[in-house]
Amino acid sequence: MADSKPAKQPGTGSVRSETGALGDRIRRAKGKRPGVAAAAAMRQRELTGAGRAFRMASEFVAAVIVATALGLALDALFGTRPILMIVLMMMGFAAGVLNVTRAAAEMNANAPVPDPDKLVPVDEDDDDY
Amino acid sequence: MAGTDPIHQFRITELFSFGSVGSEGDGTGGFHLVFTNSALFMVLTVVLIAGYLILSTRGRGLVPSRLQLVSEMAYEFVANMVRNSAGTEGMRFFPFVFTLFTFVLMANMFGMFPYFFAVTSHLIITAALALLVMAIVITYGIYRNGLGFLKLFVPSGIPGPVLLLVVPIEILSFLSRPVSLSLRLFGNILAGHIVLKVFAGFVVSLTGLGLIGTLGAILPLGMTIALTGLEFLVAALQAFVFTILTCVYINDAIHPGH
Repeated sequence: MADSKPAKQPGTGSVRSETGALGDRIRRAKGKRPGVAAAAAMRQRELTGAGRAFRMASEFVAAVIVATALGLALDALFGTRPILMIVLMMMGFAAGVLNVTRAAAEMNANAPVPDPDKLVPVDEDDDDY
Repeated sequence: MAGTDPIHQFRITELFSFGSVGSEGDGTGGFHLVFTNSALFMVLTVVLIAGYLILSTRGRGLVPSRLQLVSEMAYEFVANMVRNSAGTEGMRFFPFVFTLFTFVLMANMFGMFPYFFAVTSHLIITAALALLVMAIVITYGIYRNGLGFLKLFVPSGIPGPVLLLVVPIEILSFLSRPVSLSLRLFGNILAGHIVLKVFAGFVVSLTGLGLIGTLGAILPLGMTIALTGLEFLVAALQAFVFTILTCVYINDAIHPGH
């Protein structure tokens, strides 16, 4: 796939590959700087198991706690117990889901781009079905 | 058993007193100002960070010495994080973010030493840090964008009636940020230290049961060693997560529109 791309655009192909190669070298050199490499490693670490689970859970629970507490406070203020608490708690659930989807989108954005060759199903596997 | 009480490690003890403000004279009422073990470890954390950074960069070598290299790595690590999450404009918050990251990281690492006090295992500390972040985000957001900061709560491209439902949800989502930020750090450090202490306590209890107990103690001992390694990872990771979310929130203050 990588070989066929420059062939489609013969005029720009060589320039592109040249700047691409330079960009790659710059990127690689930057990645070698220890601080940057450590940050990249941390980003990927964050994507593993328990850390991600705890992040999601706390995002969700925090929204529900805040909304319920706010509802109770407003109820005490207006004497409408428990109506506002119930309404705000439901909104808290919605806000929690919003938080979780945002966190997930952020994690997806930080995730390394998967190798396109690995996304294509292997032929031998298909024969089994 | 005091030796294996898993909560004992979080006890705040008074080291010395600065005296009371507004008390009745017999020690009741008012504020009692005390230098606690928690305060001691916060001071130690700050002294260690400041001392190391000042001493290691004193030479200002163009070719850095090993000590200077660690400081430069820390700088690049945080600078890269800020630039990636909040853009170049976010770099004006670099001193704040760097301070926050090194403080949380070293406080967590201090907590990993036996008999040391884990400052971040108390909700009041992490809540204060999270509220500081939120105060800065709100203040700077309003200072820079004026009322435009409120666009943070109004996602673009949503029809009027739906906004009535979406805006309160967005506000709740914003309000939940300091809670989740502080609870996550506090929860991770607290839970990790308790679990570590519980398994270590099993070793002590089992070895009191003679030969079979001592052999059986190998299992919790192995668990304790594995958990210690995990806790070091969690300590670094939670400092990182706390900082990266700070950067994300600062980015919201700079660019409030979604």
